[in-house]
Amino acid sequence: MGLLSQLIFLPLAGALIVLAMPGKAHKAIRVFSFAVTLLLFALSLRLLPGFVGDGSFEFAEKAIWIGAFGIGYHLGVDGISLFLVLLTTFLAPIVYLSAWNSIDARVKEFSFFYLLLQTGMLGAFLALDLFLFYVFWELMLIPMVFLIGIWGGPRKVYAAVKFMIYTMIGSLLMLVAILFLVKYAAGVHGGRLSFDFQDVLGLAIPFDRQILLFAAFALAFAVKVPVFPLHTWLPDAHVEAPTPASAILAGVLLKMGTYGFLRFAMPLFPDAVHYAAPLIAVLAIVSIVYAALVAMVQDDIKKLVAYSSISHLGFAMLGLFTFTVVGAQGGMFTMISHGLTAAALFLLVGVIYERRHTRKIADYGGIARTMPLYSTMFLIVTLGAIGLPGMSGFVGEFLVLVGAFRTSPLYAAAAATGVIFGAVYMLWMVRRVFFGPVTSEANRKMSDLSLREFVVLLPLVAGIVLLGVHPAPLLDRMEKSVARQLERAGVTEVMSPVGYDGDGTQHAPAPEEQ
Amino acid sequence: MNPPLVTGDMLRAAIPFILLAAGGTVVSLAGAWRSKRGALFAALFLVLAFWKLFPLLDLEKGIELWDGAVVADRMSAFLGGMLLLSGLFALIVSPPVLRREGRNRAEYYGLILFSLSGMVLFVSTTNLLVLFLALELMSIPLYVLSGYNRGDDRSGEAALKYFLLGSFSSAILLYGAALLFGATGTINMAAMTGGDPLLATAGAFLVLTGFLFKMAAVPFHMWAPDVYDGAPTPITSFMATSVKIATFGALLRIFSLAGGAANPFAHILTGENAAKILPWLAVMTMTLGNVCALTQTNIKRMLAYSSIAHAGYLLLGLIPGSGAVDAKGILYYLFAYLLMTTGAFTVVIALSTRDKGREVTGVERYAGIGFRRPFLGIAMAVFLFSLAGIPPTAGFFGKYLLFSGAVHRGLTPLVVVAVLNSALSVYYYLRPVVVFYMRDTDTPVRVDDALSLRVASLAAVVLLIWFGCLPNIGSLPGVPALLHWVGSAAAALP
Amino acid sequence: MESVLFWILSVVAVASAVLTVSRSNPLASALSLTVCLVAVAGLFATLSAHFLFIIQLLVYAGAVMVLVIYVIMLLNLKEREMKALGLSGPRVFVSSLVAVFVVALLARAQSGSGGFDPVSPVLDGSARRVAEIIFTSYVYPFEVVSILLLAAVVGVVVLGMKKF
Repeated sequence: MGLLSQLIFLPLAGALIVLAMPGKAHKAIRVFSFAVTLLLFALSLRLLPGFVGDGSFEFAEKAIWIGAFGIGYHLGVDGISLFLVLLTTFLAPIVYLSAWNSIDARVKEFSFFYLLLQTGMLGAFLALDLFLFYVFWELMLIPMVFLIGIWGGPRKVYAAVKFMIYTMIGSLLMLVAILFLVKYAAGVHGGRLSFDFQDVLGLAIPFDRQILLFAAFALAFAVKVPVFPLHTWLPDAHVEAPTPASAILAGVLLKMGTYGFLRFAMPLFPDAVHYAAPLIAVLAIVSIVYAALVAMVQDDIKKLVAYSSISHLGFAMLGLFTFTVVGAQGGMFTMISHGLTAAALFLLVGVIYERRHTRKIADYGGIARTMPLYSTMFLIVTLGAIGLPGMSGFVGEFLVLVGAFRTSPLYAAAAATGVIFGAVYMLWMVRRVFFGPVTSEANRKMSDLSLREFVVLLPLVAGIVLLGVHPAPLLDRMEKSVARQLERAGVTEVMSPVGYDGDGTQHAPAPEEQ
Repeated sequence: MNPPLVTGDMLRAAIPFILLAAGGTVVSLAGAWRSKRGALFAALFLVLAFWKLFPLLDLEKGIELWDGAVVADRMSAFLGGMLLLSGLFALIVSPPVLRREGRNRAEYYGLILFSLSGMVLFVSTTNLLVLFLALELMSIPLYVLSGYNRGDDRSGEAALKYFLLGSFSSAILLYGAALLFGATGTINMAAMTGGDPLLATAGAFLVLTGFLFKMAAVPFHMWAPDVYDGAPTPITSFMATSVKIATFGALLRIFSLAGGAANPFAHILTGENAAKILPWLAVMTMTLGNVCALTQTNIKRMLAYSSIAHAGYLLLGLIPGSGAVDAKGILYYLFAYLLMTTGAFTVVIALSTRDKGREVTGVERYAGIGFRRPFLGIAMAVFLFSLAGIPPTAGFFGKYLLFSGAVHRGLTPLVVVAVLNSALSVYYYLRPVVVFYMRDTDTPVRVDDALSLRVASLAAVVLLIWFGCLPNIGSLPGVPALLHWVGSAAAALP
Repeated sequence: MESVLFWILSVVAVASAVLTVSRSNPLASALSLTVCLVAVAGLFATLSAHFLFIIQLLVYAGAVMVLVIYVIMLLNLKEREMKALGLSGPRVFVSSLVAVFVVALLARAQSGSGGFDPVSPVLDGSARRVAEIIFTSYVYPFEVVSILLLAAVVGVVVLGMKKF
């Protein structure tokens, strides 16, 4: 079994073992599950030394699953998925540790769904067969619905069902598109059915078909991102979800949408992507600005962070749809950086929620005096999130703006306002929560971070700073894969130093310029 | 010149039916002495029939006897196997229910065997006369069985409704058969040629109407919710699965009759006129089923409407489009449907109670049961997610086969409607899961822990996940994969 | 001679059928139905389907009608309730629609475009001939019928049991 398969099936095996453990043995289950996630992270680090980053799919594993229908088991990792996989495995132990005390009921079920979720997410990032991808795509949905629905807040059922329905509508239409695509590919390849990503690439699909297929894919991914106006499930899901589920949802799950765009929607339907690009770019900008404005008026910290997620992922989307390598790299970097900051923010909110059982901004104030360590952490993460130079958020947003400026200065100008709004709502919230006089007696008695909480947050904060100071390792490894992916999407301006090995991909004729 | 009355071939081909019919007789008779052991006796005959049916699965060439009265081929064998499985589930899950109500009589099992014999016959004939007799033979015991809970008004209502509408539909089918006979001069559907087009068309559509009644397709679905709700739950489960298998199995045979365009019956059903009607039927059936299921609070009614919706998905497979009937997709889906529906009803049985002679099957009282009864909860979740078509379950793979087949036959718009329907169905399939896991209550509830119920649901869970993940690998060493069987059965059609 | 008989029997059959549906007194309807069934039996006889003729008389005109009348007596309908059974606009409309459809189909069959020759020389309705056919080429359906009847009997017993 290859490394990638091990990554996918390790959590699944862990989940099944958890299922067999006695439900009362909370401690044992926690230790075991944590060990599994740690092992998972360690295992994923083995990807780094052998990774070349030439834009091809490395560590590839290919096997026949259901041969008669051309369904294969094809995994591979490139510069795009590598860091998303690492992000997933990095967050897995951290988030699990953060839930050590806050999830005290039904620990067994929680651990089961948590590990199953890891399998689903890793599978979706690593799958290179459309059928396999779809299976994992749906598989990660179910545990998340349970995590929200069982351990969530008062309106958990509403949030869980809404999340499920939104995602299902999108993904089922994507299924039809996949089926149609495979049928079309079979026509081109002389009747040979294949769901393999490389077999469905570069088919000169007629434009009218491409538009419909792209729309189906785009809907599935845009719901996940989420792009305005499909975002309404997100605030509900985040507010009701328990802290660990929120952290995973914002940290990893949302990236599934942007990843899907870059991996599948853009290269598969180059003409349609270029046709729809202005619309999507505008929607991305609307997401950035609108979500920032809505975030500004929130009185609930968690909801504010949720809206900030929408805003940040708008940046990632905009980066991809600038059709420049630098912009797309910026988008990818924003995804990674947001994975760290959003997860950290949700965990931080969870810390004070555990103490006070409120998330209202107005209930806090002057916490900096009672919880200095916590406040420091929060401030660093906030600065990372708003894109202060030297922090991870800055690199991504800067590159996106550079790319956007090349495509259209108007985009860049509009998106830049989002950066400003972002700084405003985050810093305003920080001021109200952490500074000023201590207003309530309860706040005065709050204890600072425990050792466990500190250990949970430290890697995240370190990551945010490290990526901001030294982004090159990520950007270098990403560049060629991003360039290759854009090339497949028919972007010809790519200035790449290395001659890519021809993989038989045909490029669609030059897209109509809008 | 008379042909020999019984030959070896005849015996081989007809033996499953004979065993089931004989079993029905013996078990009913046994009721006079040892009425407590009815299920066991019936299971004995069923297993015997299974054993005799098994060799037919590998039949190289079909056996046709008595002018198409019996057609034994891999298709009929596979369908027969599914029907027997459905019957076996009914025999396994019935005793706990009947015992706790004190009406565990052998006649009940005898009637199940009689009904099964009719179904087995129904899917293995091309003779209109036998088709009609088989339809009656499978239906009459079901009319009686749905009224088996005589203390419950709803059960009686169910029986009467089912009987009246069922007889009506049988009459329509018979009338259609008569017209077909009038047009072509033969009652062997496979041998029909020529014939007056108007008569044949009227006949073909009337026969089709009879089928649509039985499968509860819109607009002939009115009886289904009341009957499913009123009938004893094991019978509902049996009815919902086996009747669907039998009708779709027989339709598969009719839609792909030999003779192609020369055969008026098959030609009309797969021709232009039907191509205009069938898609609408499918769309209406799945949409109405799903929309009505949304508002149901009684889980039996919900599953009844969901079974209507599933008939709609299955109808997709019958629409020829630019190709032939999708026998593979239909067969696979039927198998998945059998497992998941039986499974869901088994959990309903375990959770149902009786209040003043009435069966109570609302889910709302079972808040949080998923944690107190982990197995029951997981099983129900698997069944419902499978019904909703979420991977990695057989329900998803079945949907994939049906939808992908339809896309390949150029019916993509219909598939879009079908997946939107699937998305809609997620909402109501999720509801019991929500109640089981996401609501808390401390009210103690009674759960039937009978071993047979657990065995039945465990088997269904394991098979559903197996067939969803590895449809191309046999689940037992030496047993061919489900996909292999489905393929070989489909290949037996002309 | 045969055609005279045919016309007389047909007119009687149709007229009594119309009476069956138009009478509001169930007993009158039932008696009209009996007449109708007897007339149809006569038609069978003229087609030299002797076996069918006897069966029609014994089973339908005899046994079934006795049952029908028995049920009517058991129900013991009041005068007022009987009124509701009479003809009404919509009922006439729907039934004439169905009648027109059936007649059109039959006319179509008569016109003989396609189809088979209804008067084939082997058509011999004697009991011997029927028995020969039933017990050779239709032996299987015949046995199925017996199972069907058995199943129905068991079903009736189950429904009729006083208590389980």
